[in-house]
Amino acid sequence: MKYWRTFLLTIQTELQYRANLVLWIIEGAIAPVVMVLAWFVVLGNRSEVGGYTRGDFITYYLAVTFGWYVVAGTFSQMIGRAIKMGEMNITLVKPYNVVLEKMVREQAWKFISLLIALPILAVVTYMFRSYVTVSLSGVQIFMTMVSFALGAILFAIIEATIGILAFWFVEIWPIADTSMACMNVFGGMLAPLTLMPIFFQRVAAYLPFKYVFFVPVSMLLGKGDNASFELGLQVIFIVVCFGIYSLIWRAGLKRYEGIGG
Amino acid sequence: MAEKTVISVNHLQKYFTVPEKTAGFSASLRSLVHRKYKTVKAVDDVTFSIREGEIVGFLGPNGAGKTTTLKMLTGILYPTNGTVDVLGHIPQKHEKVFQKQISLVMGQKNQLWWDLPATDAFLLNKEIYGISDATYNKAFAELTELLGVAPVLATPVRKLSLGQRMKCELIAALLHEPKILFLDEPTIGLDVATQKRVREFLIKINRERGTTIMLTSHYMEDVEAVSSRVIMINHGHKLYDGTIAKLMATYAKDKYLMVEFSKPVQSTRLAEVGEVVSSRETRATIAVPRKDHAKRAALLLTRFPVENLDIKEMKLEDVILEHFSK
Repeated sequence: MKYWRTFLLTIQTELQYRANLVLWIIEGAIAPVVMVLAWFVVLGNRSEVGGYTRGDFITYYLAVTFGWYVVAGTFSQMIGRAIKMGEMNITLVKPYNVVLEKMVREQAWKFISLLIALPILAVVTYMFRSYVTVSLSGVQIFMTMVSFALGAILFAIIEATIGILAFWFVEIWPIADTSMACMNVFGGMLAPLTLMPIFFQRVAAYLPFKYVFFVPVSMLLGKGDNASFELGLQVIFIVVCFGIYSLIWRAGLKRYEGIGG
Repeated sequence: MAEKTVISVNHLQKYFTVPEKTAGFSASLRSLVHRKYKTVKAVDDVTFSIREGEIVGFLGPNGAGKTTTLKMLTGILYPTNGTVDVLGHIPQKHEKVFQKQISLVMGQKNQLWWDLPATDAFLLNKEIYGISDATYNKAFAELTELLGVAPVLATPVRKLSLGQRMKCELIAALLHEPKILFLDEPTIGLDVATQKRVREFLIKINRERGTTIMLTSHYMEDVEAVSSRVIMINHGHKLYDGTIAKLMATYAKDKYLMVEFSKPVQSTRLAEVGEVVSSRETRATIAVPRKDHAKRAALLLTRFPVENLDIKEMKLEDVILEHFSK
């Protein structure tokens, strides 16, 4: 309940800054629109590239954009700041997890953005309705939803881990930027992984980024080879990443300097 | 008052490693390749214990180690060495059962939500601490009335004055009825009237709820008004631990004779009575040894045209400045 209350309070706060919400949505929409147009140019007169048709590209980037709102909460900088500025002091003495708090606050903000973005996404989907083709069975839909949920958990753990590196590095934005670059390249946000050079695909298999976006979006497109196996890998990456996070958190707390009075 | 020990600190140390760099561009380049560090001993071998229901003032100049000690007592910082036991728990374990029994108010770090009314933060704390509706409603009504903040509870925190904010911070910290309240500079920046109200509030909370209070403050008035015991530290070392009365008896060797004459008196003539602290025409303040202040007062009365005479104790502040702030 305490995190639900935090979620509601954040929404109350964010509603006071309407202009920010709109600008953020415009910023978020630019990249996928550009990517769709770029792939249309690449496609030219061809019906497909690497197994992706026009409809697949539109669906892919719509799913990535939608997934970005649902899955990705970029709260590492919030945690980094809380550590750097000592803002964590008050939370650390309460029965309240500061990392979960930042995650919930980011998700609340994203939820509002999603509500505003949904009509835009609906209009875009309607415009390209002849291209957008999603035909999944009940089981596939269920597995896709599970995969999106697992992707969201994995993304949150990666963000939390980057955030708490501030115990050592103080400024974590270069690490956060690097992680985002990896998410673009190895996570399939920039382009479907299967269209990337084989080297990238091999490296991506051993990194967690692929299991955040690419795996669930592929399932949505019906392109997942072995959905159960991919879900299993998502779980394994969650367990491993959470283990690493826990070790860093415990070691980090011992280094925490709690700046300020 | 119960004798149960609720805070026990033994040989507590906290050392920080901080990078060192001299001024200038070349020094910055050098530090990029070869960075030098130094060790700062923020708290160095501090031992004390606090009993249930006590109000203890934690005194010392800036950088003395007060806040660092407080942060170790609440689990924010890990000690370099030594042990901390608060209510039978090690604060650094961050156990929920422990966290629900303490509260921390910091003068410069707040838990209220800037854009929302304070009541929203109170309701969040209700969830965080798992406070029942009945307890919350009772505590909320009692605390808001005691601090007189009812009229501002619907106002966004950013629109509140510093005093109103601090009062709301206190309410947020006390809703779950903690056994120990840690306060770090609670009256910093507040006007005199609000300071007084906060002090009175703390005394009331201590008396009625039996809340143990430990507060750090720069304002001696805070400490004198609310606590009977002080722990003084400087450069990370404990210098004094005991009652204010004992402190004054030990270190306040002088008393002040505040005198008003019927006609101007030269200050050089007053030196035979004691050390002239200030002198201006018909008024003077003379410091005299505590043990024979009566004799000196009599001397003053017989040799000078005294119209009015007051005998005052040294202030706690003066004692601290003289004996502990070097």
